[in-house]
Amino acid sequence: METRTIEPSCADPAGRALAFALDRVAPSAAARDRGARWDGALFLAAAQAGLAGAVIPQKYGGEGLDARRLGGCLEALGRGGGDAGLAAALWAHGVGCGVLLARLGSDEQRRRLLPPMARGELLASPAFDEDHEAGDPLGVQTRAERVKGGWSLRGKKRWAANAPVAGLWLVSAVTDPGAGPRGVSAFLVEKGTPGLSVGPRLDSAGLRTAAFASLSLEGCVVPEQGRLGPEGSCLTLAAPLLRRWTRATALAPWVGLLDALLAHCAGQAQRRQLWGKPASRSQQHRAALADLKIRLELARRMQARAAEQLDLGGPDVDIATSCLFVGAQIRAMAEGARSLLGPLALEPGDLGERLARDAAALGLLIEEDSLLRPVIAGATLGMG
Amino acid sequence: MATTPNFEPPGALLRRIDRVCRERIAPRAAEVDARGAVPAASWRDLAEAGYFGLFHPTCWGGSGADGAAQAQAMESLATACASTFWAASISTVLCGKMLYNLCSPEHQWRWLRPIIAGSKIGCFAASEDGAGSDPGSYRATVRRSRHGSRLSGVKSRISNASTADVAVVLARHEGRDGSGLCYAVVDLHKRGVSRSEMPRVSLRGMSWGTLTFDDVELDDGDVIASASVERTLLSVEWGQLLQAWSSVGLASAAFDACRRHMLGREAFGRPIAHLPVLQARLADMRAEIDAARLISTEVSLLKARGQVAREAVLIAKIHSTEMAVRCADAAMRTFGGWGLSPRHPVERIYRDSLANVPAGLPTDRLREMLGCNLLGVSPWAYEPFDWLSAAGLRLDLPSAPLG
Repeated sequence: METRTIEPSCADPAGRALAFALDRVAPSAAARDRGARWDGALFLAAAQAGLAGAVIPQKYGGEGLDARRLGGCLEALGRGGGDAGLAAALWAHGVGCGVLLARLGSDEQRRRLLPPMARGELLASPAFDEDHEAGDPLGVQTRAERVKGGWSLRGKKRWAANAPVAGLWLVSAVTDPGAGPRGVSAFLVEKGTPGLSVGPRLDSAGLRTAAFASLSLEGCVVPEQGRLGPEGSCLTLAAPLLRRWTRATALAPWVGLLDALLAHCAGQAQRRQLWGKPASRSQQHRAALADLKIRLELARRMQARAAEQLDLGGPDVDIATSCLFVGAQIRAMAEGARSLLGPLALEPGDLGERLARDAAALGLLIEEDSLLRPVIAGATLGMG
Repeated sequence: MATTPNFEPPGALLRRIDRVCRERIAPRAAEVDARGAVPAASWRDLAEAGYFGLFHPTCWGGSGADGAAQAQAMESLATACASTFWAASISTVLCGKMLYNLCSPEHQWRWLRPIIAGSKIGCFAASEDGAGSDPGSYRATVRRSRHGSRLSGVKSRISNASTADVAVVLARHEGRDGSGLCYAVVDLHKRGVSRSEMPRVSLRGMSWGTLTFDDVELDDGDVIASASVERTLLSVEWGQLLQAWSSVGLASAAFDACRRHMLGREAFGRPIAHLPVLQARLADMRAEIDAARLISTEVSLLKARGQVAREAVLIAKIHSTEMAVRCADAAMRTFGGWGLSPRHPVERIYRDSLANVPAGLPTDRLREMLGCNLLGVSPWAYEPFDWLSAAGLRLDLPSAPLG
């Protein structure tokens, strides 16, 4: 089948994304990865190309795209830019936080926060996850006590994307300890709030062009209008929404990244020598390349299905299944490509070497298989 | 033979086919496997339901269904019974499409029309004992002389060999213009044709065996020497799609069997559905099957529009056939010792899944073709290797007379 070639064009969001990625992201990707360098100016430029506000409604300055067209943009960003970290940062900001604010935010919150988010001037960080203690079914230990004018938050959040460079953090906290899943609320914490401290930036082998850190909330006072969505609705509204969007769209850049990786491997097959002949003559090499192609094309379609199901309101189980499948293909392809490249992967800035490390950090982006599989099996078996 | 009603609400045809598959075909699957034959009743049921006509235009009695409908029907039948699916689909899909794409209207009148009605059975005869992936070494030959054309040779591992009325045969062609490959439409009831069954571990309900042609007379019109690569691909890809859907159906049947078993079987005081290892296995099966279904449906859509699917069908075939064996293996593990017993369908599903991997070009060869495509090199290019003379091979094709 022909791989769809996207001609760079201002009218088409995916075309704009590809042009931006080729022009601004690709040239510095290897160097930024080597130095683990966060580039704020590059993030701003990505916003100007429409990538920060892709799903933010147009009336707030965003592109107002649906999940399918968002997927097209993210794929183009991945294919042209070769930078999984930047894609992850843009996703966490514009989709992870953007969707929650757009769907659950009050008029005031949306009017005030979404436009600067779409412009990339206000960076947002989704900081819901915590280290789980044994016997804690909610997964949230951070507490919010009612104080005059708002709430006082106390707790710790881990691995929040964009945390070191953000101006806005979305967090969850228990507002009613006796109410179980209906006792957790979501909050918006803005930069400069006393009691908020961001931990040291995570030193990671993968996704090095992104920035992750833990959060500490010690008597961090959030005003009344800082609550996101109705009280007690975090686990019933915000979390499921974020989960669906994560499972259905967070891996979209990888379809493009892996597309570029496969082309890279095919090109390198002519360079690499095996027993005095190019590796392209080796039957095993050809078979391994074919396997990468198969994985890529299946992942492409399962990823597209996930986005389509999200747009159409399809079943959670199908979206979760797509996420499980695409994640497995990413890991297998990244490792398979590195092995195919052999010593060529050791060349400085090699895409295969970098993506193998980024794929190993997939746990920073999506749920582990050990969480996805029981969800899928439970739905299949009618066990809830 | 009843024909499909002309006017019915959309979806009625598919629902009828699905009902026939679940209520008539599936309950016979174990017996079909044990007895080694698809009963005439199944053939009638499928004909009346309209399965054979789904893939062909109304001018020959088909229903001209779209790709999505063809995909659903193939999956329904493939889930119900692998042997019945193969027997029926080799006839109407593979042989039927070859007749439609490569042969004359006269052939279509004589053979495709009754195949669609379910009153005749077709097959496609390409592989030989000594030649599978390598059509360059076929020995079966159509020879032209001033007395007409005659076909001699032996085709082996042919689906529907013993039950078919007509074969589209891929053979070498020797005539005034030198030699190459040609298609021959052969009435299998003619003098000179003999057949035999081959024993096998997989798809036991389908006929599978040898067709021997001993100087079989052919009219000039029965020999098609000018088939382009494109037309060949157009037809042969239907066979690979057949294997992909057979695999999706088998994997789906394995998946359903696992689901039911996990809910009913108890160990350590509760249904084994609670065991995380089994849940993980079930989730992984679902993911692989969903992906296979997606790509196979895409190929069905392409093929129904009369297009060549190229890489998509290679991907569908390689992934689906191999994942079905994995799913069948996973099902065997889930059933434990009971998986070995014919009391449950999984051992038959496991055996049947094996056939799809080597059929219609083995996945090893398909991977090579896909890899070569990616690299922009030809999968037919000659590579020198150092044991040429030791193996007794020559560079050019053999011209030895047939025994």
